[in-house]
Amino acid sequence: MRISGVVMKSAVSKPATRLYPFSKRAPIKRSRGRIIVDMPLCNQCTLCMLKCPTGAITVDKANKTWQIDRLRCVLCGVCAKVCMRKAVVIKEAHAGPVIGKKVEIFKTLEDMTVWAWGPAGGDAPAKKPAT
Amino acid sequence: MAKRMIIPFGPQHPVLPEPLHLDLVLEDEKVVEAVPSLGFVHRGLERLAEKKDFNDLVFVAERICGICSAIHGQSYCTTVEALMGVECPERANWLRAFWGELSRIHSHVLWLGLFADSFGFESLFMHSWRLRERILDIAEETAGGRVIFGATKIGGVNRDVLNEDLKRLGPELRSVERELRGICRVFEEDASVKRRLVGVGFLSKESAASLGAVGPTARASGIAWDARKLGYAAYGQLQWETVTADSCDCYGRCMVRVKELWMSFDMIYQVIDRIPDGPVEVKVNGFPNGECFGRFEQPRGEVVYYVKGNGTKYLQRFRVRTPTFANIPSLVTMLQGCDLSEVPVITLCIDPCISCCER
Amino acid sequence: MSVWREEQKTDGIDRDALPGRAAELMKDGYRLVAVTCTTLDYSFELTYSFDREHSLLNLRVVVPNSDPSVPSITDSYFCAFTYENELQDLFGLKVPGLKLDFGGNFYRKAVSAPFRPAGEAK
Repeated sequence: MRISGVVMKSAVSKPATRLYPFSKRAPIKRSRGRIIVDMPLCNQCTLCMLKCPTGAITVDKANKTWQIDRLRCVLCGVCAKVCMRKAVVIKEAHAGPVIGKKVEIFKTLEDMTVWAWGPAGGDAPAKKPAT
Repeated sequence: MAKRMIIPFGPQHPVLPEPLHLDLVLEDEKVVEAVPSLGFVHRGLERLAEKKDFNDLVFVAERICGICSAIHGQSYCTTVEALMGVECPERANWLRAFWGELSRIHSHVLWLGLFADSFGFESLFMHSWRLRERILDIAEETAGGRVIFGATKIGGVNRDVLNEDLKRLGPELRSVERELRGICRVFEEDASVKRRLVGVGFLSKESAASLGAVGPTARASGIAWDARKLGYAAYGQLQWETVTADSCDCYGRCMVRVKELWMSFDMIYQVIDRIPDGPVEVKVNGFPNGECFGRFEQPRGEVVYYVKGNGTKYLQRFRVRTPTFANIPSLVTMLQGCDLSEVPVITLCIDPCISCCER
Repeated sequence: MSVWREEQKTDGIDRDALPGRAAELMKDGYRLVAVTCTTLDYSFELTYSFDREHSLLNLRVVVPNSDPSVPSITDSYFCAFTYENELQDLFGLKVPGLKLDFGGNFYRKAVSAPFRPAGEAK
C-alpha cells in the first residue's frame, strides 16, 4: 500500500487546516484584496470611473461621494493605477461577503473618510459618458 | 436476450466538476452508445467582444474558465499583439511563461485529486488538494490572485516580480515538488489504482489522430504534439521535451500528466535562473485591424484563438476553440463498450472543462 | 525578438468543392483543428482550419444569407460533427449530409440560432 507513507506523515504532522474565524491567516503582501478610497485626497476627477472595465465605480461630483459596487469589482487595480492623487488604493485584506444588492458609498466628514451602505441604483451600470 | 436501457449521467454528478450531460445506452451493464448534450453553462462570451473595448476583453477571456484562466489571458493577449504588430518585452514573455507553467501545475494537481475521487480514492484526493493550496499561495504572492491571476494585459504583464522574490520561491517550490513526488508514486505504483486504470478507455493511435484528439489524451496514444513547440512566450528558449506514453489507456494519460508536472517544475526553475531584466510592458496605440489565428497549449490540450478586428475598438469576431470541445468525439468513442462503473473514470481522464467548452 | 506569429495560409474555396478538398487533406495526413463562423452583414464566413506538422492551413467558404447551407465533411473527418452541430444550433446554418445529426439539440438553448445575423437576405 503505497499510500501508507503519506498517511503516516500526515498523521504525525500538524493539521493542514486552521480554525477560522478564531485564527486567521496573515494577508499575503501584494495580494489583491479590497479597493478603498481616502476621501480627503479625492478631488472627484472621475478618472477611476472612466477607466473601470466593469463600471463598478460611480463618482458624484455634486454631492462629493465615491461609490463602489463590490459585486461588479473584479479587483483589476486599474483605478488604483490611474488615480493621480493616490486616493484609491488596493489593500491586501480579503473583502468579505456582500449580502444583497448594495453599494458602498464613501464621503468626507471633517477630514475623515466615512462610508455607509446604500441601495444599488437600478440595473444600469455606473454613469459613463456615451462613447 | 439483452435488455437496453438509457441512463442519464449528469449534469449533477459527484464526480463531475462541471455540468455535462451524457445519455448512456446500456445493454446489461455495458455501455453501447453515449450521446452528449451541452449548454448548461453557455454564457455567450464570444458576443461580449462586440460590446467591450478590446483592452477590457482580457478580463472576459480570463474568466472563460477558472482552472485554465492564466493561459486564456495570455493567449488572447498574444493573439491580439500578433495582429497589431506589438512586440512584447522579453521579461514580460518570461513572466508569462512562469505564470503559464504555474497554472499548468495547479491544473494537473487539481485534476489528480478529481481523478482519484472518480475511482473512489478519497484520501488521495484530499492530499493532492492540500498541496494545491501551497501552489495557490505562491500564485497569490506573485500575481495577486489565487485562481484568476489577472496578470497579463495587451502589451506585457500587469505587474513585475522582483528577482529576489523569485529566488525566494525556489526552495518553496522544491519542497512542494518533493511532496508531490511522494503522492504521485501512489498513482504510479499502487496495485488498486492500477487495477482501476490499466486497460480502461482504450483509444488507438489511428483513432486519436483521425478524431482530432488534443492534449494528454492524444499524447498518451503516442502522438507527440504539443503546441508549446510553436515557440511563443519564451518556450522557444527553455529546455523541455514533449511527454508521450504508449499505453493508450487511462493509466497512460495519468502518467503523461504526472511527467508533465516534473517538466513544468523544471521549466519554472529555468525561468527563475535565467529571466532577463528589462521593462514589462509597452504602450499600445491604435486599434486591431485584420484577422489572426493563434494556437497555444493549455493544460488540457491545444486551444485555438481567432481574432478579427475592423479598425474600431470593438472586435468583430472573437472565437475560442477549447481542447475539451475537440476531445468530445474521442470521449464518445472511448465510452463504447465499457462498463458502467468505468464511465466516471473515462469522462475524467480527458479532463473535461465544460465552462471552457461552452464559453 | 520579432513579433511571434505562426505560419498561416488561407485559401478561398467554393462550398461545393469543400467535401472533395477535405477528403484530399485527410489522405495527406492533415487533422481538423477548428471550424470558425463569422457573421457578416449578409453572409456567413466559414473558416475550416487544418494542421500538419506545426503549420496551419485555412479554407475559407462564404455562404450567403439567402441560402444558408454548407455540405458536411463528416465523411472524411468524423470529428467534425461537433463543429457542424454547433453551426446548426447557434447560427441556423443547414448542413446536409451530417452524420450524427442532433437536429438542433446539441446545445440546450432557449432561443433558436442566437448568433444568426441581424440583417436579412438582400
